[in-house]
Amino acid sequence: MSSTRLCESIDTLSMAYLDDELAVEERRELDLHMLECGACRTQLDNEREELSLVRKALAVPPAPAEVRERIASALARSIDADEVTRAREAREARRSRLSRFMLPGAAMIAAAASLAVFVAMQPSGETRATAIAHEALRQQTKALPLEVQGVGTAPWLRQHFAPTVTLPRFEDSVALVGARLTAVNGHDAAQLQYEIHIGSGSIGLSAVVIRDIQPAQLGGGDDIVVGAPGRQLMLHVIDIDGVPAVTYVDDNHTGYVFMSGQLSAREVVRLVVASNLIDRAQDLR
Amino acid sequence: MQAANNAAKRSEFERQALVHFDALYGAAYRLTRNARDAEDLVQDSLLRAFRFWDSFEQDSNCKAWLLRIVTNTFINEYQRKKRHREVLDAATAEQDSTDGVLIHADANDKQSPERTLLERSVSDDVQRALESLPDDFRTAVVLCDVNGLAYKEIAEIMACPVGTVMSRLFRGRKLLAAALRPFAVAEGYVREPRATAPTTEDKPLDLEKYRAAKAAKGTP
Repeated sequence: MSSTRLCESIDTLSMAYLDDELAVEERRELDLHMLECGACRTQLDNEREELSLVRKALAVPPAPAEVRERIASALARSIDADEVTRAREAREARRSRLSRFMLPGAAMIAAAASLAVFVAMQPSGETRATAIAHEALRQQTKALPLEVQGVGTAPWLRQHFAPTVTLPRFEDSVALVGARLTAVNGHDAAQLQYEIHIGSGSIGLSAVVIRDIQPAQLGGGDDIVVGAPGRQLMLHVIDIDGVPAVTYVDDNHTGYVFMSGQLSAREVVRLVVASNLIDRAQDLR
Repeated sequence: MQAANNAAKRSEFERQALVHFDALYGAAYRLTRNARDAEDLVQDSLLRAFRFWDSFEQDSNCKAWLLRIVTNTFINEYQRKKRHREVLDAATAEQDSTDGVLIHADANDKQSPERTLLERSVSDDVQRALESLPDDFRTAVVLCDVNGLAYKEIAEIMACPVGTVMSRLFRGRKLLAAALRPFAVAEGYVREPRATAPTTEDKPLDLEKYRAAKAAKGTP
């Protein structure tokens, strides 16, 4: 009989009944069975009481508001940290691209070797920069508004700053976003703002280009020799109050000071070594 | 552009996932030993969920998806930590006993007074009873009786058949009820101590099997 079948499975059925997992038809069948079977009725009552005991005991008070807030802000911090990590990984990847770029050719092997020396000797004791370098660096940290932005920047600089000055160009992921004119210790100068696109975000890089300057005026700090024997170029890494910058003066007496608040001196050096300034100088040979 | 994508992802995550905060906290609260561990577990789980948010199928059950992350994180991370801690505790206890220090039975953890206080504020009896359950039983009971999930959802989260969920639930509840009954009687929640449940412990519970058997026999 159906009653026997129901009695045999009463553990399963009563549990499913109390958890509201039975189909309408199954539920009705069990309801009817309860009317005629005392044993199953007792079983269901006991299970019901037990379940309510368990559920009452397990009820969790809602999380206090401060816990909720604490978790939300910790989560936001973790997500931020995640993004920073991803940006760093992207930067590492970019750096390895730079390394690849640097490796071909004897000239770049020499550059890589001097970079290794530079990294090994950092931090050196005296990294006193010249007054001009100091001032150039100070200019860059002021974050003044740009006078020109976007694709018109380079033509504008040729027109308003100097027609023959070489504007630094880096690898493809670094875009010139704008510029403003300035002066550094009486020398005409332009501050160029770049954006390095890495992974999910971008970081800023700025360059001050200074006209009519002697190499000695922008020296100081640690010297880095790049290039092949016979055609060597000198970069300087200066450090002012913990802000690293890289300086370089080309054959036309144009001086360059590069810095980024988010890159190490070593990373800036690698960008500069891979830029058109060094490339072009190499080609002149 | 990327930053904008991230912001959109964050607000979408907040809209869809954070509304289940109470459910996640409730599960974490009953899976772990105390409020602080629960907080850590919810936070870890939400961060994990955010990392994998792209893999979440938008039209599927977000609450169940999040609870799966909570239970997996709990089993993978917290239980391992707990076992590690127990080994340390055993070593400390041995050290203490050789030092002739009398240890209260409940003070099995070397911990800060603040932490002890936190644990005390959680209902000790319930927590102890829960902790005595095997992980699978506890998880099934928490998902059903704290979070109110259906058997099928629990089966998906625990990656097992519905019949297994029912058996774990049944046994987990029986063990819990047995542990809680003396306190419940003392507090007047239930009328009297009941004789131990009939010997159904080893009989498999499976609604699907019952339905299949019923279909095979045909309705009388």
